[in-house]
Amino acid sequence: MKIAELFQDSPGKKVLISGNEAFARGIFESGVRFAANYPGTPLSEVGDYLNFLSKNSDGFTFDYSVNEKVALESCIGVSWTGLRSVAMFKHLGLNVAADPLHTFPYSGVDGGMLILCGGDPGILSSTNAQDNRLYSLHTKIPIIEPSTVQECKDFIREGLRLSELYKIPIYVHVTSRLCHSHGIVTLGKINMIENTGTFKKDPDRYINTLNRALSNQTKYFQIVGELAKNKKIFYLFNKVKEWGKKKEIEDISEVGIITSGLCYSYVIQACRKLEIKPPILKLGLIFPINRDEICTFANTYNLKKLLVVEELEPFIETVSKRTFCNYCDSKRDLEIHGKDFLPKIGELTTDIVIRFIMNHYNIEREHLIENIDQKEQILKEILPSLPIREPTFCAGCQYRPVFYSLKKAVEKLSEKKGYEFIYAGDIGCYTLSESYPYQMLDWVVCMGAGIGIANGMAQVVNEHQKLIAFIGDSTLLHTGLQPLINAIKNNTEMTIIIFNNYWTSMTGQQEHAGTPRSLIEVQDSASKREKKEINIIALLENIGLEKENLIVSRAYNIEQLEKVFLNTLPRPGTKVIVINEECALEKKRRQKLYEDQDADLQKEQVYYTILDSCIKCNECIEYLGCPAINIEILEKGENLSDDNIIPKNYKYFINESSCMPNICPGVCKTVCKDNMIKKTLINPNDNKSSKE
Amino acid sequence: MIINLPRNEVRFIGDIYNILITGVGGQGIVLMGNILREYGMRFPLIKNVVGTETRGVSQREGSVLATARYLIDSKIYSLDQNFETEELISPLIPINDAHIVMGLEPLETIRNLRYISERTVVIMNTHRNYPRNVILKSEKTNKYPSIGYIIDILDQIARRTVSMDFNELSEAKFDNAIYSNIILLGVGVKEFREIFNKKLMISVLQDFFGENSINLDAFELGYNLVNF
Repeated sequence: MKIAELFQDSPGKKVLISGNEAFARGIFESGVRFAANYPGTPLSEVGDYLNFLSKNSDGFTFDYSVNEKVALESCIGVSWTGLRSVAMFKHLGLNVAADPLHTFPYSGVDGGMLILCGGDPGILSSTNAQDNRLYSLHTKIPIIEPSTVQECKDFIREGLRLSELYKIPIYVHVTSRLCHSHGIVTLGKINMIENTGTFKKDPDRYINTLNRALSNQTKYFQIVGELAKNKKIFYLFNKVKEWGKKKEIEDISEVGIITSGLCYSYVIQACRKLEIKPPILKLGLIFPINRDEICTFANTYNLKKLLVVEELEPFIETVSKRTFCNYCDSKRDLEIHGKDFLPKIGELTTDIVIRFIMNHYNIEREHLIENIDQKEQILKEILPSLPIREPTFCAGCQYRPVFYSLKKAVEKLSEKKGYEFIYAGDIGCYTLSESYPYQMLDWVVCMGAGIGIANGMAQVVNEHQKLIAFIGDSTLLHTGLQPLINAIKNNTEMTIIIFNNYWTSMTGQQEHAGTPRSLIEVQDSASKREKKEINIIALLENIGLEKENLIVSRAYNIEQLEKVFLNTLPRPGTKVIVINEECALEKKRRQKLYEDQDADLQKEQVYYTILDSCIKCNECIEYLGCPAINIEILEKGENLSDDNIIPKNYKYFINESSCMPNICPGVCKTVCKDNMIKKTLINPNDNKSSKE
Repeated sequence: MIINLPRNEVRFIGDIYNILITGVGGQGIVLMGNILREYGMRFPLIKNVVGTETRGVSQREGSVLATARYLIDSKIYSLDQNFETEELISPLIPINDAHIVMGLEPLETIRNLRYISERTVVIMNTHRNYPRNVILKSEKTNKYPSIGYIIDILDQIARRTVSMDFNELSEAKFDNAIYSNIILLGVGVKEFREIFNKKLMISVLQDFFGENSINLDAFELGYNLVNF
C-alpha cells in the first residue's frame, strides 16, 4: 500500500496492510498528538510512516529521538499536558528507557499514553530474546497484546482509552512476526487532534521524592488492582473462542487452553488439524489478570487440565498457577501445563503446538505426528549440508573500502610489530565486518558496548594487543558518547573508528540528530520549528581530544585510508578516526529520485566490466568481496556441483543491476592489480562511449 | 518452448490455500508476496488473506521468504461449514502444507523443504546465485548442491516439480533477468486455474506496474509456457 493511502479518511474501507502499517494507522485514527521512536526492527517502519505523516500534517508531531530514554520521556511530557502520546521502540530499547519506566507510573498520565514495544523471540534481527512482559512484574504497567493485524490497529485506540480511564500508561506487547505479517483491516474514523495542552502544576503528584513517592506508589498499585477487577475491561480485551455457528464447545476431554498474541493463531490452526474444539481463552490484556474471570473460565467448562501457550518465559502460566493455587474458590485439582513441554527458546510454530496439545488430549491422531516426525527426519539429513548465506555490505557500500584498507594495514602492522588487533563491535551495518572476507569483529553486545567494553579491556591487556572500536554516527549519539568521553578522560589506549554515514542505515535510513538538514528531502512544514543538526566533528574537537588524535577521512580512497591506519593505529592514547561518507544506498535512492523528477539531470552513464583476459587473482573476490562481482558458470549442465566450481569452469562478471557506478568510484578497479576491470562512459547526448 | 505435463486430480486439501515464495534478496520476493496477497483481496471466492515476509537482510544477499495464505469460501469448497473467517490468522504455513512453492533460486527452494509435501507443486528457477562463502570456499562452508540432487529430492517429496532457468529465458526474451519472477508467476497462475483468474491477475499486475509494462508480457510468456 502506498504510504499516502494509509492516512486517507475513508472509514469502513477494507485494506490489506501489515501489522506495522496497522499500528501507524491506529495512531493516526486515535488523535495522537505526539509519537517518538528510536528505529529498531521490528518496529522501524511504524516510525517511517509516522515521520511521513508528521511532515504532511499540521496537528501531529513525530520525533526520531536520540535514544529510547529520550523518546519515552518526551512522551511522558506530552501526556502530562493532557494530550495523547505513543513511545515506540524494539524490545531492547526498553532497557535503555527502563529508568523513567519504573518511576513515572507513580505519577500516572493525563493524556492517554502507550509504550509500543516489538519483541523478537526468534532473534531474527536482535542480540537477545528478552521477554519484556516480565518488566511489568515490577513496573506494574498493564500489558495488552494484539493477535491479528486488525487488533494491531484497534488496540491502539482501546489502549489509549484504557490509559485515560485509569490515568496510567499502557504497554503494548507485540512480536516481530505480527509486525511483519499482512492481513485485512477495516479502517475506522479519524479523531481530531488537540493542538496544545496545558501542564497543571501538582508537586505531590509529579515530584517523586521520599514520602511523596511512597504515597504515589500506594495510589498507583491501588489503581492497577482496581483495573484487574474490572470485568468489563476483561471482556473488552479477552475473548473466549466460540467454535463455529453452533457455538458448541466440545469439552469432553476437559482440557482448556489459554493463549495470547499470535500464538492464538497457532492454537487455532493446531485445533483445526487435530479436529478438536476445546474451550480457548484468548488474552488481549495479559497483565494484570482478573483472577475471578480466569477461575470462571475453568469452572464453566469444568476443566481438569489447562494448557498455556505462550512464547519465551512462562508469564501467563505463572500468573495462572498463582491464581488457581491461592484464589480459586473451587478446590479441585487443576493441572496447568506450559513450559514443561513448550520451549522457552525461539518462536512457537503450529507444529510444536500440535505436539503439545496431542500430549494432553485424549485423541488418536498419531498419523499427524508421524508425518511431522518423518519430515523432520528428512530435514535433519538435508538442511545441515546446505551452505548458508551470510549477509554482507551492500554493493557499492562505503564501508567496504574502509575494511579492505584496514585489513591491509592491520596485516602489515601485525607482521612488522607483532601486534594482535582486537575489534570492538557495536550495533549497526559495520557489524557485518564479521562476515567473509573481512572477519574483523570480536564482540557485539548492545548499543554503545563496543567502546564501553574496550574502556576496561584496554587498561589491562598485554602491550601487543591493540584495541580498535567501531561505532556508527547514530549509535554514537544514542549511547556511544558516554563511553567515548570516558575513554578520552583516561586517555585509554585505543583507536575508535566512527562510521559517519549521516543516517541510521541498518534499520532503513532514518534521519538522526547528526543528519545534515540539506540531505532531508521533505523539511517540516513552516509552522514547526526549524531543526538543527549536531556536527559530530565539532563535538569531538571540543571534548578534550588532542588535535593530532582526531583524523577525518573520506571512505573511497583506499591508498589514503591505509596510510591513515598505518600512522594512527600504533600511536599511544585515544585516537578517533571519523569516516565521513554518506550511506551509498540512501545516496543512490535520492539520486534516482532527482533523476526521475528531472530528465536533464541524467548524467553520463558509467559501467565497470571485467575483461575476459582476467587471470582470476581473486583480489576483488577474496579481499574486497563486493557482491556486485559474481561468477558465471561457462559449462552448463545439471550435474554441475560445487566440486566443479573450479576457475576453468567460470568467469567473473560485474552485475550491472547491483553495481553502483555513480556512487562508488570503482573500488574494484583500484584493487585490481592487473588492470582487468574497465570503466566505460556513455554520454547520453552523443551516444559515444569512451574507455579508460 | 512448451512443456506438457499430466493434470493432477488432487486440488484442494482443506479450504486454506498456501503459497510460499522464496529466493535471494533483490529477486522481487517481497513484491511477489504483495501481488499475490492483493490478488487474494480481490478474488471473490477468497474470504480472507494473510501472509508474512522475512525482513532485515533482504537487501544484503540474504535468504528471503514470503507467504500468502488464502481462506477459500467454505460454502463452495469445503464440507466443513463451521470455520469462519477468523480461522485463518496465522501468517506462517505449517509443516508440509504449501500448495505451491515459487522458488526463485534452487538453494533457497530446497532450504524450505519443510513446507513441501505430496500436495505441493514446486515451480523452481534453476538459475543459481552462489553464496559468497561458496565462491570463496571458506573452510566452514558447505558445498552448493547440484541441481540434479535438488530436483531428485523435490521429485521424491513434491507432487510435481516444474524447473527451468527463468533467468536465461527472461534475458533471451526481454534482455534483462529481472522479469524471471513474473514469468514464474505466470506458470503458477496457469497451474492453479481454479484459484487464479488470469484476467484478475493481469489487472492486479497493471495496478502494480502500469498498463504497458514489460511485466505483463513476461506474465503472458509464463502463462503460455506450460501445458497441463
